[in-house]
Amino acid sequence: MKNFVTKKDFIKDIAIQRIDILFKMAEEVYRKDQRLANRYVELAYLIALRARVRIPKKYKYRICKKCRTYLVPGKTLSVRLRSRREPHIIMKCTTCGYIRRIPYKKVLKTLNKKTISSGES
Amino acid sequence: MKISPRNIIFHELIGLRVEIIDSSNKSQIGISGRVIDETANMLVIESDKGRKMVSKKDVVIVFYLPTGEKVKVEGKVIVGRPEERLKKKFRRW
Repeated sequence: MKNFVTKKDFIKDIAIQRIDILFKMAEEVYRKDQRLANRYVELAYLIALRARVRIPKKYKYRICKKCRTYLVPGKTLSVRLRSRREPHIIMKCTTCGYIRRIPYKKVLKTLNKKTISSGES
Repeated sequence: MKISPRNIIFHELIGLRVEIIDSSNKSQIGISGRVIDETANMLVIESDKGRKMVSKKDVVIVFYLPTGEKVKVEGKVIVGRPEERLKKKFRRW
């Protein structure tokens, strides 16, 4: 068993685990009961707020920033690529219409640099 | 640290298998199933006969943890909203 230095660490550790459990449950339950899935995701969000923990990156885009519904690509989330102006990804929540834009040009650049540098060395 | 009898009161109850062994309402004794939702004062349990709402404060529950352990919990201890329960002050034993 880990020894935690402060109570805060203890709380944060548990909070991350709870968020993980809730997102897994949401995925499981989504087919049968979408309301319940939304409820789980909302709870996960509230726990993250309370414990001052970031939602893990793999779950970050599975929750709508505005209406806090559970986003399932193809059902409640539409994902499109736009190359005009700055190249970016468009993620649209189909329940409330909230649009989230994520640029991907920079990511490509950094990726290229990394691969080049690693290739040289 | 994974869910264990020591930290169950701070941990997630949704998804756990439960059984009610004592209650002030006699018809609730013996309900078993999975916890599917939780509010400040109630637990929603999905049993064979449908969803049952159970008041936390006047109930004694047995939780079956994924590790295979059984924990008997007084309902009074887990009163509180699920996100607030995280920071609940409780005397460790």
